[in-house]
Amino acid sequence: MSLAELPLVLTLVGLVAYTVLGGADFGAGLWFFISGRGKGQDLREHAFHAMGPVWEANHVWLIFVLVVCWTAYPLAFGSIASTLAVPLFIAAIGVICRGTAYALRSGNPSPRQDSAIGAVFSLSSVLTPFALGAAVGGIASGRVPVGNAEGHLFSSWLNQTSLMIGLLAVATSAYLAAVFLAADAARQEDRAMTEAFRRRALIAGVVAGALAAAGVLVLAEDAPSLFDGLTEGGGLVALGASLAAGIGTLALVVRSRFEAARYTAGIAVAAIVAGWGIAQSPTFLPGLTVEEAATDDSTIVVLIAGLAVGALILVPSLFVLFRLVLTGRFDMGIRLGIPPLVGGRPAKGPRLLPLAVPLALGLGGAVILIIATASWLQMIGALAILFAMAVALPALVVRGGTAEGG
Amino acid sequence: MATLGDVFCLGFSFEAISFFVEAIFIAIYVYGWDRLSPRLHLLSGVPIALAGVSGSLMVLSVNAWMNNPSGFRLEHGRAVDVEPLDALFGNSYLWPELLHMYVAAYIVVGFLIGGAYAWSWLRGRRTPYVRRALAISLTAAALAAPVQIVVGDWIARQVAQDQPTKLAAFEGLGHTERGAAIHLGGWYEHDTGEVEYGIPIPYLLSLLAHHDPNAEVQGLGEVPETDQPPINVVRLTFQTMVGIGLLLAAIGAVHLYRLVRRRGLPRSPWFFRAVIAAGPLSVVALICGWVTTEVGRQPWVVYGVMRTKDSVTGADGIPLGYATLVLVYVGLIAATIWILRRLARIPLEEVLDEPR
Repeated sequence: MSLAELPLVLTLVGLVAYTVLGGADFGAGLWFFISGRGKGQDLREHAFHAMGPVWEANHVWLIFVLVVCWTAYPLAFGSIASTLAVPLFIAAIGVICRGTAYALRSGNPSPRQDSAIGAVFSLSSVLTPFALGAAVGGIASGRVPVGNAEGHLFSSWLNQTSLMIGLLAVATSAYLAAVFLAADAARQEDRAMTEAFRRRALIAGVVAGALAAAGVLVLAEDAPSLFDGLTEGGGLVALGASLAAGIGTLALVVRSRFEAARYTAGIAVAAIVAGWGIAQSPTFLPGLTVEEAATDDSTIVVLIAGLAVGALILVPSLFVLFRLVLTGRFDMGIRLGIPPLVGGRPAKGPRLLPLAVPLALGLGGAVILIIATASWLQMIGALAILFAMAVALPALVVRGGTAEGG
Repeated sequence: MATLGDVFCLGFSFEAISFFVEAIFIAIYVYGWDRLSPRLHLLSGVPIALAGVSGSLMVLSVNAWMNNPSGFRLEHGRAVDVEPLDALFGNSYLWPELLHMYVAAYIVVGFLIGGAYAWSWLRGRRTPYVRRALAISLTAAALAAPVQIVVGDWIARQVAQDQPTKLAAFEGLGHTERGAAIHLGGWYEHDTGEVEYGIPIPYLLSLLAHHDPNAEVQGLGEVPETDQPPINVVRLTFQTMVGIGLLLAAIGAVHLYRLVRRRGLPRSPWFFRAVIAAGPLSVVALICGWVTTEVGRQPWVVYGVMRTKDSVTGADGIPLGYATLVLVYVGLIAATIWILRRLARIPLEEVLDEPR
């Protein structure tokens, strides 16, 4: 693998994570939509709450995919973003609407408001993965030429391959969500809920599998070069791995082994994305190879180094979040029961510096900032002012917040 | 996107990491309430603050680069010899811009929150809870607002040095002059290159831009008219920003004086009415500031390197896209107001209203 290909691998890894985690999130919205009221209300609540702690982090994967692609392959990214402006715009609006719906439901809405919020939530949960899948279909079927909006504004993402991959994205999301929600329900020892989502996982799994099989036929017709790539060598291996993992997941779901099924379902999706990359390689867009699309080595080196440092923070953080969620620490109904803050010993007030200190520091910083021309001196002045503000704030707040005057 | 993405987009990549960290720990903070130990819960808030700072640093490094681009050469329409770290962080314009934006953010947050509690205060809800909320939010804003005058002066000198045309547009200075004046209000006439009907304050522009009343200030006429921004938009937003900023600094000074001398909040209801007005006014000033810098940079999207019209997508339907975005924003504003009002109705835990 060359340096030019490394960011693409990272992009695809991000895409896998987004398809699995973001997909499960969208799928939960789909089940929210289908479950309806009455008896379905419990299912809706479960679908909504299980994703609560992780949905925002799941969607950052999309941002990761976009910015890494933009930094490392600006020409290809510009071509994709301009030709596929419509589906990407729809997806962006969809993500915003979903996030808003999540926030609004915490406002304890009336039943009528709740159903309006639910409609926005469900609709955007279906539209977004479809639009993103359609955009992927446009790239995969070679409908995004190099250049500023050189491709067709509509037929680039409204064609057989795009429709196919869009539907597959929705079905896969529903499948992943059902598996994850069944696992969450099993952890909470909710038998009826587990069974309900087990059944849904099986149905969605069969539908997604059928769509994937039909998709291969569509590709043979509509995107023959991609089809050839997927039916030979590494592409075929990846396709086979995905099929095996998909069947394995169904078998695990049948036996109610949901925790293991989470991972095999993820592998099935990862193998498909990897297969796409292998089948299309070394072409990025028609007439543009990955090597040609890549930016200067210096930018890629800094990008990789930066992401590596970021990963040192990110990976443990994600681990902590998912561990807290998967061990049920954030489940509904679990509370520590902290005693209220009355009757205890009164807290000792913090020791505060006299106000003259921040005043002198702030004025000194201001004078330096005003008269200095060297930028390092200006920085010192600015830092002195900032520090003075930080010291003065608590000292002053204590004066205003506790005094009985006014 | 295609031409220069490799120079600045690194900032966005690093921002994605900040975004990730923020999303993860916001989830832990929100869902960990009463489910984690208090110490752990408080600690989980620390990464949110750090990621907020690093994320905004990354975004502003890209904007500062658009204003003062460096760290690459253009060859046949493609950036070569790219030094992304130098382009983003070795930029003398970044630090004043970052500080200016941060201080502005504290002003806006302080006065918006303070305004909401000032409303409660005026309606007679003078509980210890409201008093503390007022003391914290107003003091933060009151410290930041006067500081902004000094920081604003810093960034103005940087603009005078790196983007002289933008500075000339702040005032509507048609011709290069020594001892240039600032006109309050009025209207810039393109034909004469003069400000009509404004109140002149002699020497002030030279003094502000170069700290010397007789310094030479470069006029708009130094560049062809096709390289000039829409002057009157920039003048209006710049003067609005500065005017509101000075007003906010005055409100802040009153609050600080009372705190230090009388150890309490001001008594006059007019002070609290002013604070209520200061909330929305500070938002107006913030937006005016962004319009000043962004419109003031026109016709360039990357100053002196790439024109805005050359960076626009070739895709059709942009007006429709913008209309949709406007609808989304209106919806978001309405939703935000709705949920804040809903949440405000949930009673506070009694303990907060107990006097200490």
